[in-house]
Amino acid sequence: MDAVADRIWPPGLTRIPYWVYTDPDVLALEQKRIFEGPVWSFLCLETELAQVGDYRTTFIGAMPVVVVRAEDGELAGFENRCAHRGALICLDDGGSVKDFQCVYHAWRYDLRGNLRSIAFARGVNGRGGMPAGFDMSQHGPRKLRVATFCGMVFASLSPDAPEFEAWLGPEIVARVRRVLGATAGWRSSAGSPRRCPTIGNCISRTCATRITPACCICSSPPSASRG
Amino acid sequence: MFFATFRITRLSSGGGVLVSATGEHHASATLAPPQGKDPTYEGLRSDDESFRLADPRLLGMHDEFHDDIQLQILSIFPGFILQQVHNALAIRQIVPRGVDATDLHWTYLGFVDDTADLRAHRLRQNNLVGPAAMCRWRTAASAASCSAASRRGGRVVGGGDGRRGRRDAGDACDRGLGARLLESLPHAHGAVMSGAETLFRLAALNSDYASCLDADRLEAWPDLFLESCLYRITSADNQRRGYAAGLVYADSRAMLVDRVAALRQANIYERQAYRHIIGMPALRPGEDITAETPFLVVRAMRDGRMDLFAAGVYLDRVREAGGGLRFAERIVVCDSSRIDTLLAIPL
Repeated sequence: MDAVADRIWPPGLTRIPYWVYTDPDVLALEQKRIFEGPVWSFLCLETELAQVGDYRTTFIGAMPVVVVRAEDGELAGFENRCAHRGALICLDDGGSVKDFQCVYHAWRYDLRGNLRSIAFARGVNGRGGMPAGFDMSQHGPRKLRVATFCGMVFASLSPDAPEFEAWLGPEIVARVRRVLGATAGWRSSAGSPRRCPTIGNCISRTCATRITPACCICSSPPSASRG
Repeated sequence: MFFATFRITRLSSGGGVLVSATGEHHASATLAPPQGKDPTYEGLRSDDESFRLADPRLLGMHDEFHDDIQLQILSIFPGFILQQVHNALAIRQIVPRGVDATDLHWTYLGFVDDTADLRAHRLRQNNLVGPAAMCRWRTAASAASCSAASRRGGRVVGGGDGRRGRRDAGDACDRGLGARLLESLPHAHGAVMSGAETLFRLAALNSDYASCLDADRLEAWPDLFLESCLYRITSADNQRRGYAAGLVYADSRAMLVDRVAALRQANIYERQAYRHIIGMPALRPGEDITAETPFLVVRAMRDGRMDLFAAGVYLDRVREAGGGLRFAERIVVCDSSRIDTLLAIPL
């Protein structure tokens, strides 16, 4: 097939061409422009991150990410890829930690994903090690903007995404609140007992056609031009 | 189909679709359906008024939102869905896995202040959605293979390690007991014999169970359970966290009858068959006969593809009833949290 740019969308809103579902180039662009674009993605429930150091791993599209309750009580998130060789920093679904250390070569990160130490940074017996000008603050996984709403945690990789509730719009905000509105978040007051725990979870895999995000919304083109 | 038949949602129900100003997010709502004669589906399979649930507790709605909306599906672009189907609440997160596979991460929700009644109702209604839903369908066009799911927290049962001799010989919790009982069988005295007999009868029950599911005798499958029983399919991860919701939840034999009826009448899925391989039960102490039994299920699809579909352990509580052993409880704990959609035939 030709390059994505040459693809022609059939006129009108009622026909979706098959290449949308099957083209690896479209999939790659979907990750880059949509999931890593100016949108917000669901990560987990706030109740899963009750204490400082509690973390969860999940995905923004295909990108593995970590979300964690940092020392100041705020939520932080970052790509779950070590700045050194791209290995997964967190290998588990979740847990509680003081900091994060990549198992591959022991690069260590604080709860906000800032690089804090590198094993053998000065080499061994005067040989090897990082160059003199190496600045740890310039190296680290991509950071996420994190927002909470109705006990849910969302994140964005883009500085261009509007604030979360503004991005949803008042009508959608009201419809989420209708179901989860009484849900208290992390620092629930004593008067809001309706905290929202998970009662179960699982993953279902569909191996037939890929569900492109646009299909869950309406028949408008998925796209690349969105946002 | 199932939803239309039982009027959970019909085209004649009121409701509407709300789209955000940007066109990115949406909420669709279904209001309470019409009562009495509804001509919308006349002549269609969904119009069969003779379909009746054996356990009508699956339907109906606790009024927790104080409006007429019975069903609301809300999407937030690009990969989030909040679902309210009556009182079954869930978050679905879309995780693309390639051009031929997508994972849906399901999180079933309940609230701390739910009454026991509402909680049980949510658990029952979770059967309406999810990878083992009574209304779901799976496209027949599937040709892509599904990689073996990751294993988490699986338990190995059966087979003692010989170092457990410090335990009381009468302790049924000893994982080596079954094997030792079999070895000593020819010389056994009454008390030990009854343990061995229990084991043989459990094995016979399991072989009946497997035969019902594997030989497509699904209608006979609920008969292996007591009228008041608990049958759940869940993951080792859920079980470890103490979460009650999973893939299937039935707290009566009638719900099992309904699941079979849904499978026969309402579900649309690719033709497939299972082969259960059920291991040696490890007896556990308890008032009833309690056992932990490992299983494998191989699934053969219409086109000849075979997968190791599920592996895990049955946690059983079994009682004597009507001259045979029957399940008071069978919790199917799958080692993996990932299920190739659709789980149609029970495990």
